[in-house]
Amino acid sequence: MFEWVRALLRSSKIRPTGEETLVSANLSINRKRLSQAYGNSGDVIIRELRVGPRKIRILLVLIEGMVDKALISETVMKPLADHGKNWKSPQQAFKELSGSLLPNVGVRVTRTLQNLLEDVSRGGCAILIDGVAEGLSVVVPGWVQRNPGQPDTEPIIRGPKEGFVECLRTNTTLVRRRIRDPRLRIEEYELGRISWTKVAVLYIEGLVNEEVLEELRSRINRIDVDGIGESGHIEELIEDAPFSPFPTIFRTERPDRVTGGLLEGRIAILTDGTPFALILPATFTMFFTTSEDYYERFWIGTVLRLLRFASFFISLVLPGFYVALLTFHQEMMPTPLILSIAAQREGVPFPVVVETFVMEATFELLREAGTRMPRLVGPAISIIGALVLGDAAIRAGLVSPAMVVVVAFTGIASLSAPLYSIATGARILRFALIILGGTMGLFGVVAGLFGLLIHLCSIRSFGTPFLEPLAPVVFADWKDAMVRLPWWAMRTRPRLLGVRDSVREAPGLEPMPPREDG
Amino acid sequence: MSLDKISPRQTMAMLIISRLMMATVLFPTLTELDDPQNIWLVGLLGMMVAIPLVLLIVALGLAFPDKTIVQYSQVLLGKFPGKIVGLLLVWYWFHIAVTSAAALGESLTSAIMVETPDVVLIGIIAYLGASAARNGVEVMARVAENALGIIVFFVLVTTILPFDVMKSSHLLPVLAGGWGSLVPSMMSAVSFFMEFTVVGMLIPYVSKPKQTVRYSVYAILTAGILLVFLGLTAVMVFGPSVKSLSMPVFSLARMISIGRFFERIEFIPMGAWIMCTSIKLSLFVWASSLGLAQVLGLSQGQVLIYPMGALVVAASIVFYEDFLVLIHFLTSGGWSVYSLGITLTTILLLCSAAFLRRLFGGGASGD
Repeated sequence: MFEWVRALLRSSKIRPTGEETLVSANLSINRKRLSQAYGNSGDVIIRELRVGPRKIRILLVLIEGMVDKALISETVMKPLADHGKNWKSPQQAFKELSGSLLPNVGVRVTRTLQNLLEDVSRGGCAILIDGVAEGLSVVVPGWVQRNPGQPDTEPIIRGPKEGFVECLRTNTTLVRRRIRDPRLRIEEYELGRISWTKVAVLYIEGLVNEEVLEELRSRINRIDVDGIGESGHIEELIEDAPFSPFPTIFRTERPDRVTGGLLEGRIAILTDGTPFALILPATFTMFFTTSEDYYERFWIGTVLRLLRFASFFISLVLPGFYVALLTFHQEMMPTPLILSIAAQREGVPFPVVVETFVMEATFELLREAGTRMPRLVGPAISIIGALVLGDAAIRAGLVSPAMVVVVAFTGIASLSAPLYSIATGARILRFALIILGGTMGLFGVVAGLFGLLIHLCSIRSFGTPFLEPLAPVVFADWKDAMVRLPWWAMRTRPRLLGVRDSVREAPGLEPMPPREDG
Repeated sequence: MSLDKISPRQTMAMLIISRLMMATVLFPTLTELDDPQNIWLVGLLGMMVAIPLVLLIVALGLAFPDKTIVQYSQVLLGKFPGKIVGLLLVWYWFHIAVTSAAALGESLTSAIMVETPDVVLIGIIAYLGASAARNGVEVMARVAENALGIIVFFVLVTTILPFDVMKSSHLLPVLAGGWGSLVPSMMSAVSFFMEFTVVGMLIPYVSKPKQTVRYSVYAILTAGILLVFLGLTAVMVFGPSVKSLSMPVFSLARMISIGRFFERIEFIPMGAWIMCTSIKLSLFVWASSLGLAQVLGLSQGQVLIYPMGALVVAASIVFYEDFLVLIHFLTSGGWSVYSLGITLTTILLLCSAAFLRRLFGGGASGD
């Protein structure tokens, strides 16, 4: 029935492939074709030189801003000027250039114009010589990039202050510098028919599960889009549970988290143009960890994790629970509390459900405004939020103070999630629970939560059940889920679907200082 | 057969939760007793009787490790009689699901959601259960495994927290009415353990089938001991009047009051009800759908799950028009006779067939 839709989709190829144009021996023809390819783009520089006594015609093509200019003049222009006078023929010039003269690392000799174009677009310089039906390209990318600084989304107190940046090569270096073993593999793909985005898949050979890796490769290879905007774009194209409110692929800006994931036998995906790396397979409990948990003492790591789970639960349930209690089960509240709340709600004109829904929506609105607005108008938002919506609304008798307490508590709990992306799931589901609580009381809330549990139990992340190690229960992995045991107790890697080399530490690493009394 | 695999521990979790469900809602075994203080005796004896019976089912299953009970009954008894036995079991599981759904619906409407029509509540619970079952036995098992901790925690909370209103003198006299007075209640206890026939459907999916023996005994012991605790607490708190309570566990939770703040925690048993019943429904709807598919020779049972769930909802309204009918059926011995009748007949038939086959070297017994 939908065959024709599929056929239509399949036919809409965006980038024409297949035809290759060979480099011509005639420089003018090459020049014409190259300038046609780029149109009259202002940043493309096509320059023709005449070198040496024989006036050999040499064509340089590069894109301004994509190449390192100093490096170009050092490594391309200087050899041309120094050695050009010795050249007797174009062939000799080409041979010397391709063979020995260019001191760069990445030099490519090719016969097709497409390859030259690709290299130019990646920050290279193409060199063509009249009379030679071959081209040279030197890739010397150099563009403006920021320094790896403390990531904004995952700040920590103790731990490396480096974060990923937008440049893929810098990012792979940040990882490679932390894992020097040659078994660290970096597979690169180019995705996007128009954007040509570079994507790197990182894993440690021997630790990674080959089946998961193969599955990931096939999922990446099926991506056929015009461009990749961000790693989230890839995430949505390869994840297991596309309709889930929760992410099944972990994302981070921190190279040390990627390193940790790789050492556990996971796979990381780095995308050019974004500082966010993906880590997979991911489990639910991973989203409640921070890298600092592993660096600070394990007690605080454990307590904070439990706190985060609790706050996630609160941010999900509290408003719905409040609505259910006040609407249906007043008798379940302690008498002094219900009396106090009832007194506050005396003049409030709305039912609790409406009040809660509106206040939660207002909070989300304030939060969204606070995120998107220009920093200069920040104070205005806080005045509106705190004074107008908080204080004035209560004074005017539109909402009850208890409601504001609930909203504020929910908001704080929601903001304390270490990873924004898992909290967003709770943000949306909270509203569903408010409605369930308002229509069916606690029964609705519990049924909703149970439905959520079923959903979470039913999804997987690249073969690993999402709730592992909670369901299925894998006691061996509880050492690093709800709690964090000390490092010397974490002898094995998590039992993701078949990690191959499971022991990661020598036995008996627990420090045993000699006793004073010997 | 599908690739879904569950661990023996997950099987145990599902069985425990199914067994706890009826007791946390209505506790018919307790309210059926003439002398409720003997509940612990009944519980222990019930376990003793249930263990060999359940082990028989497990042993049969292990003789055919890749077949469900519905499938091997056709091997053991022959095509047509086997199908009849299969249908009988399917009906039995379906009826368990219906009774559980009705018990939950009636209890919720009489205790908490007084004005809500019970079809809404039953419908939601049945939908949740069916959606878990629709995702496959693996998901069902994971949900059960995850919920087991919460449910056991809830049960323990209701057992321990009313300590200040317990009176141990309520436990006396022991055996006032003689052993004979225990028989009906014991039959009831055993008849609820006969739900474990469903393990016959699960064994082909268990990753280490041999361990099912151990874990099904664990399941009986855990569930049985928790029930004894619950029963003892209820008797110690309410005394002989516990007989007149329709929902003893719920009433227990109402008695909890700690520091005049932590009180009236009815949502704890209610949460346990909802979770237990959804999981139980998922298990039994799944089992009866798969069984029906295998009796009818369909290639898979998954498509039957939602229709079966809908049937459960409808039947729970039709079979039990009100609370009294349900309570009467469960506590007057009707359920015990009915349940034991079906399951004992089945087990005896299958076991004797297997025994005869082995005796006469009929082969094809699969071991």
